[in-house]
Amino acid sequence: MTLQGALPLAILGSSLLPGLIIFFLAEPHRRGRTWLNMAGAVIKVLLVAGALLGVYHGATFEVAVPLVPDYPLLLRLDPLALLFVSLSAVLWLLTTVYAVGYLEGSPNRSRFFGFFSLCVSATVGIAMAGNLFTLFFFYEVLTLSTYPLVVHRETEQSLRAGRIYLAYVMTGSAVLLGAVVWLHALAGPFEFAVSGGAVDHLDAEHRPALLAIFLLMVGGFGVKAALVPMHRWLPAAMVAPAPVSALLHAVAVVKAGAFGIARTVYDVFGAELAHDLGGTTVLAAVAGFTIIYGSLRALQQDDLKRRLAYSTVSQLSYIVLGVSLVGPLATIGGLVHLVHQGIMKITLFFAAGNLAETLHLHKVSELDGVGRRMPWTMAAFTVAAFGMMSAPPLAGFVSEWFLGLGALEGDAPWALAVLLASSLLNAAYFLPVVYRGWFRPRRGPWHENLPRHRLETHPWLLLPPVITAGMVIALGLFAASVWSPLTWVRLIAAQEYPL
Amino acid sequence: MILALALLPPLLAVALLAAPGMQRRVLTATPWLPLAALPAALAPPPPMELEFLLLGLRLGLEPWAQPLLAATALLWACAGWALRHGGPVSVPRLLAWQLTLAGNLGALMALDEPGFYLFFALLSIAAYGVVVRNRAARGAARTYLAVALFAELLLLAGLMLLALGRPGPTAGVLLLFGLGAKLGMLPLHFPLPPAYAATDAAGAAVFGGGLTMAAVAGWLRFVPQVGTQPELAIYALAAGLAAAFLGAAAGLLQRDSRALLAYSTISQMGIVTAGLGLALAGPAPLVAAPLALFALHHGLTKAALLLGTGAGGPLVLTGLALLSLALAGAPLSGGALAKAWLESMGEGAPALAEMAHGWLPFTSAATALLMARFLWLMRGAATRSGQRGPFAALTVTALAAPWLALLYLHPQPTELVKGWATLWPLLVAAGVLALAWPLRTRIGRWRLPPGDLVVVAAPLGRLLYRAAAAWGSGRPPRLLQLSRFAPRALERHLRGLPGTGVVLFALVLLFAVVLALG
Repeated sequence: MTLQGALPLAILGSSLLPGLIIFFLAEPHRRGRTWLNMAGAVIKVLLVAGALLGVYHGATFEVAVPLVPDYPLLLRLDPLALLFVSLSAVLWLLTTVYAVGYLEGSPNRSRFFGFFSLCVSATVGIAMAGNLFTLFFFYEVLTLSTYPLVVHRETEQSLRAGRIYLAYVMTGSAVLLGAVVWLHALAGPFEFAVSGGAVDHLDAEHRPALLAIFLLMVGGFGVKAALVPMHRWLPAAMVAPAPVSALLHAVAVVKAGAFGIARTVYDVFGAELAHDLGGTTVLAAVAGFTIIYGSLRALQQDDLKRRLAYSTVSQLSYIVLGVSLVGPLATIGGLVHLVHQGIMKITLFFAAGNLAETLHLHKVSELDGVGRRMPWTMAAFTVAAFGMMSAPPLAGFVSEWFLGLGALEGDAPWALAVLLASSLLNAAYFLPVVYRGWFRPRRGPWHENLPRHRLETHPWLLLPPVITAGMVIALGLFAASVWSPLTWVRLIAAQEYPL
Repeated sequence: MILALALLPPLLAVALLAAPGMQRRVLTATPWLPLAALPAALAPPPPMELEFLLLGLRLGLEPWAQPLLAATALLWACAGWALRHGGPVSVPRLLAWQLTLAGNLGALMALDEPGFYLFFALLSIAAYGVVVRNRAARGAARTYLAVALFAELLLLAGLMLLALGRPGPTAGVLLLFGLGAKLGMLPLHFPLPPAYAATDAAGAAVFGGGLTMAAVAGWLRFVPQVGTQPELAIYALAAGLAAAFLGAAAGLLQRDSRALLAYSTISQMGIVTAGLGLALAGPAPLVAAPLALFALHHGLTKAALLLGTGAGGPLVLTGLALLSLALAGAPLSGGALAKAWLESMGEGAPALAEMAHGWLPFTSAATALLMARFLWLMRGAATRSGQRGPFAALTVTALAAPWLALLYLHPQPTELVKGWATLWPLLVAAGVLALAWPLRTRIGRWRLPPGDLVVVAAPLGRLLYRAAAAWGSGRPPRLLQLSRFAPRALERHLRGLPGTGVVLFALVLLFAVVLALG
């Protein structure tokens, strides 16, 4: 096997192998487990860095494993794939650090970390998939490996959340499978197109069928992307431990849905055909509605994690909106938000997890004065919250700027209005949290959950949010530099919309 | 490099505040930090591009922006001096102070759209922390922030249209209101008076001077880019004139000296709005320099007046009287020079220029009346130690700086020195004052709540927020609340309104006469 083919497999294996080994580690082997996890995560980041460098210089990495005749398991590192792979690789590393600190002393850690690694392997599989068959395969692996994480605590509430999760995503998968089979029946076997669509050569008589397939596929992916009205599983799943929330909301699950939609639009149908069919118009309308609906629902939650969950519902649709507005600037905005939303939201969930773990604070109304007790955690939260409100110079502003330009470019000023209204709503539900934390005084002593540290909480819990908050600042402040996701996304947009 | 250096000290101070125990030192250094912008203002290098920052940040200064930057730096230095001697300052407030300063300096220098938005948003949001200095200021600060965030979005949309190369009336309206909210443009003016009243003298000085100069700079930099828009020009002119006179009228009915000065800002910035109308009427006369001079004169004078509200004593009162005369455009003052220059610029648009000739003196008369009321309110103010130094320094700056700026910007400054033309409006004001003197106790009972519309807007905003937060949660959206408490608040305030009616009627009449003459 060549190096070109080995790299995608190595990236997949760097989380898959440690995960499989961890399943067989006995519970007390804390050190071995941590070492395996960390080594896998670091190796993955290094491999991805190498791949980035290679692809930037025009190398191609591709491997096909024959599985079913005509439908091989095809892994390919194109720029869009790498965008998602590098996001999940970096965030997996940080989430692993966080999870080790978070789960210290709790039961079933081998099971947890095993499925955790499996989840991340499935995610990079989705990202690197070179055809629909491979994408669907890893998509299902992700669905199934996430369930044990959602129900990890095995309480009545988390089992219920797990049932809701399965009911929603399995239905979505069934719809998706039907659509994929239908499309292949029409078009025969095909790979994702490098530019333009893979099925845009089909005759005009197939157009109604193609529109139906497009809507079914987008609907199937839309379940994981939490498009209204298929979003309910996401707020329910917030009962899971904080690292799982990070995985659901930032690293893997919802991102897989949004990524699937992006692949469908750009590389299966092609933006032009998807637009001509009218499919993207429907999608944009649903995304616009979801953005406002999610923000309004977030405003109503007193439980911090629930508020964040509805915020994800809203913010995920920024990506979908950018993809469905069809145009280079909107594409840049949508795809760069894939990265930016992930980093901002993981910061918020890390911080929320810290408040819950350290001081047993779960509700917004309990946060008065917490900025004095946990300044670094609250500072990270504040930075990410301002990023969500698209305040410059933070990452969220860069997304919003390009999404807004894209909306105007595509003659969809309503989309700009939706984005701006959503920013205002984001302010309405994030600023009270920030205000309570910093400006209100605390009455009474704190409910200390952990042994007191020199730092405000366990260092493994504190480090990840501080790092990701720094990234929220850096990705916005240095958006124009060569090494920013923005530059990378411009590369992808130039490929999709050659001038 | 000098341009970027101007921003470093406040940002460094922010970083230092994260270290424990540095608060006192940062506060001590606060008056000195803004002065790092002076080299950039006095000897500006060519525009620089920091292409790795944000979306490619471009810093530079137009000729008219240089004096504004120098004035802003001096203003912040004096305000920082007053802050340092004005009692304890909390860490969040000190942090907000430095961030607002960085935003203010940056907004004057940022030439590209996202860059300007960055600094202006920083200034807008951080200014919340400058206002909210105690529990009593919370309501005013919240109202300010809500309107500021709303206006930010208008500004963002307007800048996006420019960045995409789609100027037009829509972009013009968005920019006018997006930036105009900081200048008290009707009807987004209502947060200003409560905010001025709620914060201390130093904070109010920053609001009345620094923020207004930054917003005017944004107007002058970006609004002309939308091209000739005759309809928008008429609107800007009308809205500006309305603000100029309504602001003065509402200010007369204030009992809090800082709230009164906020209405004066609304009134004075109405003149800038109207002047911007001239630029939009096209073929664009070069109004940027005279309007910048006007903004500089107003910003420094208003900031000095606001610092004076925290000082008190007979000497301070003398200084306040001088500043009041300058604001009213007395002969040889910055106000007179700027207005004279503005009048001379109307040649490109004759119809509008005629109007300018007609109404400008009357704005001076209205301001003179307003400032008389201000001095009356200030007559018994107690002396506060430590506040007179910054006040004196800023007063001298405010009286001298317009001349220096004029020498720099205008080829023949002596042309603008007018005698009688600037004197008679003051005499008109003195006459009105003499006529109204016997009625002073009755007029003194009339009042208008600071922020007028705020008595409706704030409860309405709260209601909307609560309705949105309660929707779908099973609890009824408490629509009844408006009927419960809004009328009571309204009624309480409406009792003061007959006075407003009389003053308004008189001013509308005056306005009509001016228009008829023009």
